[in-house]
Amino acid sequence: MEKVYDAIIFGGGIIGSCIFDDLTLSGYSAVLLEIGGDVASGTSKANSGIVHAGFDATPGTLKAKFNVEGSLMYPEMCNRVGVRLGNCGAYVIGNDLKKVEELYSRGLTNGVKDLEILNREQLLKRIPNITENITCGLFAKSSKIVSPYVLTISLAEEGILNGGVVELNYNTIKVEHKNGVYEVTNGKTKYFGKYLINSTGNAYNDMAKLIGSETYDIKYKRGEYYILDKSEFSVAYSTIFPLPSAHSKGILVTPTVDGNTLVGPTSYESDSSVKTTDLGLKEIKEKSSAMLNNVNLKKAIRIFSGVRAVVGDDFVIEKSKLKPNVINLAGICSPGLSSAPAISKYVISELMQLTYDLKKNAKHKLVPYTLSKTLPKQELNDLIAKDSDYGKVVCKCEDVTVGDIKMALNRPLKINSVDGIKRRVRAGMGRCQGGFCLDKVISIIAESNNETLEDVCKEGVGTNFIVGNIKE
Amino acid sequence: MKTNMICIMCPLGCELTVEKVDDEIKVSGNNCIRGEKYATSELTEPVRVLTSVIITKNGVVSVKTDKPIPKKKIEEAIKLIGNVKADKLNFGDVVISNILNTGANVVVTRDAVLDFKE
Amino acid sequence: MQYDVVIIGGGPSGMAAAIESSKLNAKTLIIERNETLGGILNQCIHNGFGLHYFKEELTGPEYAFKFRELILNEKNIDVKLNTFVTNIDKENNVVTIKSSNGVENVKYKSLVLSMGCRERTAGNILLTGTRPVGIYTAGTAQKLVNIYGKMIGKNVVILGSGDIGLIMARRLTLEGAKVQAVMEINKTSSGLRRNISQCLDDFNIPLMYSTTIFEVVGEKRVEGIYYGQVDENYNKLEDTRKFMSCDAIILSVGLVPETDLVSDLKINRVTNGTYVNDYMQTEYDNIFACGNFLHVHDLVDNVTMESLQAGKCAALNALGKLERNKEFNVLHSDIVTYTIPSTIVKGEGKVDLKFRVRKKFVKSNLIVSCNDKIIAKKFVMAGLPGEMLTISFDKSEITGDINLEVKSNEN
Repeated sequence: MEKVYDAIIFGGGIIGSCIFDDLTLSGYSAVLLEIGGDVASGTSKANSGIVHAGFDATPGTLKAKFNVEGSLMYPEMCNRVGVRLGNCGAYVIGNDLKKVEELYSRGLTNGVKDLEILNREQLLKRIPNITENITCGLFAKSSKIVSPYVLTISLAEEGILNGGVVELNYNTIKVEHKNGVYEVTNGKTKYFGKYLINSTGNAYNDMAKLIGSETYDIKYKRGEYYILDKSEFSVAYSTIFPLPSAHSKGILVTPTVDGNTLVGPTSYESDSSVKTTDLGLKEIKEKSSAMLNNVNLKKAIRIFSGVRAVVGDDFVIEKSKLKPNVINLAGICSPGLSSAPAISKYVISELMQLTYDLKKNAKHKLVPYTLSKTLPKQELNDLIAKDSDYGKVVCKCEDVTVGDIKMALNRPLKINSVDGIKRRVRAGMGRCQGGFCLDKVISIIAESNNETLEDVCKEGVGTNFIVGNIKE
Repeated sequence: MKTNMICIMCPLGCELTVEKVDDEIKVSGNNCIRGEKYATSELTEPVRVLTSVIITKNGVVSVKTDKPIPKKKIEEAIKLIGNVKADKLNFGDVVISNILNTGANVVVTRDAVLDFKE
Repeated sequence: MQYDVVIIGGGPSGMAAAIESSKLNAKTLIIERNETLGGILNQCIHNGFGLHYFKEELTGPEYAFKFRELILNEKNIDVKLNTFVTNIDKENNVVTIKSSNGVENVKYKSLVLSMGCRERTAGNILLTGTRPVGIYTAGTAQKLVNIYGKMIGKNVVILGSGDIGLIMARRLTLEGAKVQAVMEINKTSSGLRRNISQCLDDFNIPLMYSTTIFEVVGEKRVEGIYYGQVDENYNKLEDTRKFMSCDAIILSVGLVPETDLVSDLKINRVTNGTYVNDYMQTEYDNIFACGNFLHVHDLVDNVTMESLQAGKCAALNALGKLERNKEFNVLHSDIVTYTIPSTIVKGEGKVDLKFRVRKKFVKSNLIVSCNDKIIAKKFVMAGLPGEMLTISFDKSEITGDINLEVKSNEN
């Protein structure tokens, strides 16, 4: 008799991974199926990494409700899985006091605490590099930053540790409903489940068609970003937003938990291709420099873009009316990251009518992604004495060792991708962008996974770095 | 027949015109004797040192021809180098002697840097 | 651990510095993060090295081999391989290192910075479009091909005409790939002309000037590029946009000195390296710099010569025999972009002044003067931005700031 899981979750972004973990912790059996080579390989890897306070969302929307609730759940969640949460706060700055006051009162309505309206003099004391146009601002103390991919990975891994199953590179081709049980296959491996959760982000409609559930009018919005060298960190110690427009929160400048500075995103309607454009880069340059002085985009170490799926003005979080026991999660754009734990709780307890109790099956505590470079000297020396791999530096920009990379390869979630390593332990994330360590990272992955160099991928099927031997 | 080329002997980059009249080679456009020598060699028998690598069972070594070989033999020479099978090669080993009758030997210029697994 | 001279980086620069330091009986340590000495030379398997220093034409690995042999014969040199410097404490003259032996401190009397440079990346040049697999810096591609014997694509476009890019165009062609074009955003190449001739012309690879990649195409692997021409201000001319299919893009778009460990030192905005006087001494009396860490060279022989001087002065300093006198500035006319050294210590001896120019010039005199008196004059047939120039002179005649000019000799 095949095992029937309580839930099959499609899509290993922050939403899918969070629900997967919470279900598992609550004592339910769950399987997470991800089409990419890693979890957090879509929208969840390419966003601002901000846990918003919740003053921006329109009162009464799901966005407002889940953002405020979710952000309050973050400290406990991050603490549980050992993911760093940066309490850097956020400023919204501009020259329209009326709009600032509006935001303030919207924040109060949404239930956001610790908001503060500041004049130019007060702002200057805290952000000395604001431009001349800036006359007023709002400070949200509870706004935070997090690495969205380390968080997603950690949640997925905690779920695995407590009995859940994650399959990567799983391309679902068929979903059938027989005798109250769903049967899912990629042509090779079948899974059976009572509930289906569609949290496939940009691919939502494709999956909905396979399931037979509702599709929505999904628009894609591309957000482009610059990541700046760590040398530029002093440009913004807090997240700095402009006053929001009707369409987006605008182009922000924010520190990341890893010590870089992120500038972006743009917000263009697009297809689902993640690309950067000259137009987008130009807009970021103009808008960021209108807000802050000394945003030195010449110190960019990377540019990237992420695409988020948008359905109307709000999240779609509901039970399917067309198919039994199917949960539709569509258009979870910003503030989706902030809302994730609250959405998960709502899906489990309200839509699935299951008992949400994260302590029930929390048998194994996840070992956090502690990088050896962060250890105190004596502890690091003890570690190197035990395992000399921790003394062999591979990525010189970020001081990542062979030991750190092997640790990442021997976690609950098995990967074989260079980008996966990059996101987990930051090898290749620094200013040389893997120029010096790519070959070494490929070699370590191949050796550790008992594969050839040719097998190692950037991320996912068909992204192999090496195409063969020379002279072939 | 006239051939035009840019002299690479110094940054001046003289635009040379080389002409073969009977058995004599005439170079013009050069500012010094080095240009004449360069053009003459390029026209009569251009030669190049060929470098490549060989994959042995023990790792990847680098090789070179110890003398310049005619440019027109490079394509064939690189194939011969590609056909070399060896368990292990060390610095200075002669891999192919007198390759394609050029009088040049293919010699190892670097041991394998990395451990190797096929 | 304590040494007279600690050298960070065991490439051509660090090796040369070590040899000269050892010859003066200074106890010397080279710290190298890789598994072997030689740095980038090990993957530069092409020939053309050593003509000036060894008076014979060598490949990169052979040049490195010769230096390793020299190092083995020196009694005063210790080498730590697979060892990484995590911190430099300039106040206490201590370098923190990490290796399989753990984290340790090494005390120095003189420190030589010879960490070389890194390559500019796709992010640095704001390469737009998608981010698939198949985009490599030239050095990374060179390593995969020459050290691992692996191919990274079959149908290649090279962006930037730096020397490694040109060399890789030839290497990849010889190893079976089709190199479609080398695209250079400037009107001239930053690579050596001999490389353009021997690496591109020999294989009929087009070099397209004022041309760049507009957009990378491909979701998983590079499928092609949109490319076209740029105007004087590097703006992309959209009406010249064309598509070219390829499965790999190689970037040879410049090198940046690796100054991360000493980011508080004064950095020259032109070279991106530190400033030095003719002792190769930085603003710290006991910190010396040389090689590509200081400014990017086109010939390893020049790296060697410069680093011998750094090693010598570092040793003299450690042994208490180097006095830092008053320093005179090296000023220069506008065509000169920078000089190494940028200051000259008052005293005796010969100075080799190295510099680059902004644009091509022909048949000119290089003139060094001090208080309107000509100290050195040298005729050169031509100069190019891509090729470093040198003029030497005796510094005993210097009584004030000196001035370097390039004066046309043509009437």
